[in-house]
Formats: sequence, structure tokens, C-alpha cells
Amino acid sequence: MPDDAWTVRVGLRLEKGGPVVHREPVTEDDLVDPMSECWLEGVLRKGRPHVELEALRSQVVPLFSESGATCLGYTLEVEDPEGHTGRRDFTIHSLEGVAARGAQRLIARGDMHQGDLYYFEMVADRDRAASASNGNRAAPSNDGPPLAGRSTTRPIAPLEVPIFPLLQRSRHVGPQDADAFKVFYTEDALARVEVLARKGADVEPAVETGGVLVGSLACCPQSGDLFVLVLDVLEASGADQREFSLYYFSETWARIQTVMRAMQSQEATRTYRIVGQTHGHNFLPDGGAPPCAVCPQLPVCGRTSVFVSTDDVNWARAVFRGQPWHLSHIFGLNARRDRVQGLFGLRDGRLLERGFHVIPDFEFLTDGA
Amino acid sequence: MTALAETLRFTATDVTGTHTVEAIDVQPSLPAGALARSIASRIGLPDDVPWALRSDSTSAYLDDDVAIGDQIETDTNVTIFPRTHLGGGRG
Repeated sequence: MPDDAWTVRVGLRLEKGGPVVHREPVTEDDLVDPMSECWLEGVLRKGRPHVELEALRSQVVPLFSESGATCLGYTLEVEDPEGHTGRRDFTIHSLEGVAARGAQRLIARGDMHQGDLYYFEMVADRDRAASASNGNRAAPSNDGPPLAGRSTTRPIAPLEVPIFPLLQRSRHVGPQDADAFKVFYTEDALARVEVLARKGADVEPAVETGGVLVGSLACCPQSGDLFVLVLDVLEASGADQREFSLYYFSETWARIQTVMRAMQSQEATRTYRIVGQTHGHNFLPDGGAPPCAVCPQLPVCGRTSVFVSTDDVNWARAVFRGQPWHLSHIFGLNARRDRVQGLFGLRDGRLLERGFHVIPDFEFLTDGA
Repeated sequence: MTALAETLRFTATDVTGTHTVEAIDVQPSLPAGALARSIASRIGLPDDVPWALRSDSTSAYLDDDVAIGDQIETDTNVTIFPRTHLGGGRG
């Protein structure tokens, strides 16, 4: 890792080709999701699940166009304590959140109005004064008092499960992406996830309902690949369920944690962890507007209520920090009122729709069983 | 009669049980809300999300503005949870 790090900022323009009116710094915090994705893809999926995220050294390297005039994105390079290296490329879209923050500053100072279009680009400068491992280290904005003590992270501790037999007896759902980490649902778990998410559609007016996805991380002893098994779902009971939101109260979390602790104390389910969340967007898209005129000619209606909202993204950032395998499974409706669903996972530092596999069942035989 | 502890010791865990802080030498007079922010920072949770604490033994939600020493005893386990919601309200 070189001594001079890159400092990355996002430049905002109010007109295409117009002057840059604001440069928003990209902080270390902004790169947490790309960094943890790099850890998953470059370390954990390479057969090194024992390496902790916090142990990695990293640096950002900008990706310039051939002319060198435009920054197309960046590469995150990581090195673990054993000297293994990994790298992953990210597009400028992974910095959309930074651009949105910059836009809010422009709105706050009256240079832009809510809803105005803006254009953003990545700007990278060499900064020899910056940290060797990361030029984007932000000054802590936290205003809490200093805290003495030790912090620890639960080890990954994946099950050892050969992946190929699972793939052979699975059916695939959703977009195909051969490179993405694999996700397996049991038929039973998938059915229960959908029932929970759509439960709120049965009341008038419909509300959002859901819960947490529970399962295990697994590592294939042959390929070293890490993957996710979704084996159960726990309802967000007692949550504040509204037409367009779902809030987990303290008591909601308490019930989930009680069940999780009970599961983790049993040998058969000791590796269970919360691997994601599900909820239903139990409303029609575009306020219930009818399908467009060409809809009958189209095989699929693309106007749906299945998407990850800004609130969904913020919730996932808060709950699944440093857990790049986390999933968001959204159930909803399209303009034809058909039931549709989408599974979203971390890719390019963002939550993007991805595919998954469904297996009839899963039985893990513990040592000595 | 129990002597009041000069400082508190407690363990804070995030909602997924992934991150834990064993906090020591905590001044009992510190407000729970300020400590929630410190814990979030310590375990790398985002600082643009409001955080709150709950006692695992009583399930009571800790009042942000009240001193931690008035709400938990030493060696208590607490959970830090985000005050943010899911939902399709904002595309």
C-alpha cells in the first residue's frame, strides 16, 4: 500500500456541462458498504472466512477514462494480515448517497430546490498528508462521550456444506448472475417469508408487515465459496405497521433476540443468525394507476411496488453494518395486481436485485451425528 | 444497604448480536442518549441514524435524557437499536 492515498470527492453540477457548484467529501463511513462487499468477495469467498473485516488494510484507487479526464469509478484494494490481497471495482453509482448528501447541502443554502435535477461525478486527488490506508478518513462527527472498554465482533463461523449438491437440487428464482454469492432458501422458509410479508395486505387499508430472515452462513469445503442459507423467518411482532412504513419497536427487537438466543443455544441451530429482512410493500404502484396502454402486449409488467426505498436502504445500513451478505426481500404488486417479489443484496456498494435458489429442504448433520 | 458504584460497567450488543462493546469506567451521570451515540461510534454503526438503548434484563427502553446510572445497574446487558423504519414511503 503506497504512502500517498487518494482523496475522493463527489462534484455536483446543476446543469450538464455546467460548473461544479459543490464538492462533497467521500468519507470512510461512505465506503463501509463497498469495503465490506470487497471483504466478502475478495476474502471470505476465497476460503478465508477467519479473516475479520477490521483486520484489513485498504486503499481507494480511482478508475479513469482512457483520456484521463473522467473518473469512471474506483477500485478498492484490500490486504489481510497474512498478505493476501483482494480488489473490487465500483461504479460512481455506489456514491449516489454522497451525491444526495451534497444536494441536501445545496438545498439548505438555497442554491437548489427539492426535486431539482443535478449531475454528479467523482473527483480524485492525491493526498500525501492523508493516512496510508485511507485518504478519506472522516473526523468523527459523533458527539457522545469517550467510551473505555473492549469491542468484539461475532466470528463468521460458517457451516461446512458442499455447494454443488445444493445447486443440483435447487430451482432458480430471479435475475441470473453467475458471479454473485449464492443464496439458498428452503421451500418452507420461502413460503413462510411470503406469508409474513403479505399478511398486511389482508387488512383495509393494507399495511406493511414483515420480519427478519434467519439462517446460516456456509462455506463449501471444495471451492471455499461462502454462501447464505435462509432457513427460517421471525415475525416483527408488535411493530408499528403503516401503509408505507414498518417500525420495529424496542419490544419487537426484544422478542426477536429472545428467540435468536434460544436458537443459538441449541446444537441443531447454533449457527443461526439474522441474515436479512423481509417486508411487504402491500400497495399498488403509482397510487393504483391502471396498467399502461401497451401492457397487454408485454410479457411482464415492469411497474411494481417492489423496490428498496431510501428508508429500506438506511435501515439496512444501520442494522447490517459490516454484514455484506445481508438480504432485503420485498414483496409487492405490479400494476396488473399480480403478486411480485424481489430479493436485494449488496452489489456495487448498493442494494440491487439479485437471484436466489430454492431447495426442497436442508438438514445439516452436526459432528458425530 | 448497597453502596452506589462510582462507575458503571455494562455490555452493549447490536440487534443482530454481531457487534459487542464491554464498556468500563462509565460515569453514571452520563445521559443514556449520549452513551448510545458513543456505543454506535465504537462499533462502527452509522452516525446519521438515531440510536437508543434497552436493558436486556428489564426490557425497559432507556430514556435518552436520564442518567444511565439511574436506569441500569452495573454489569447489565443492553441492546443498541436504531430508531429508523423500513417501508416504501420514499422511493
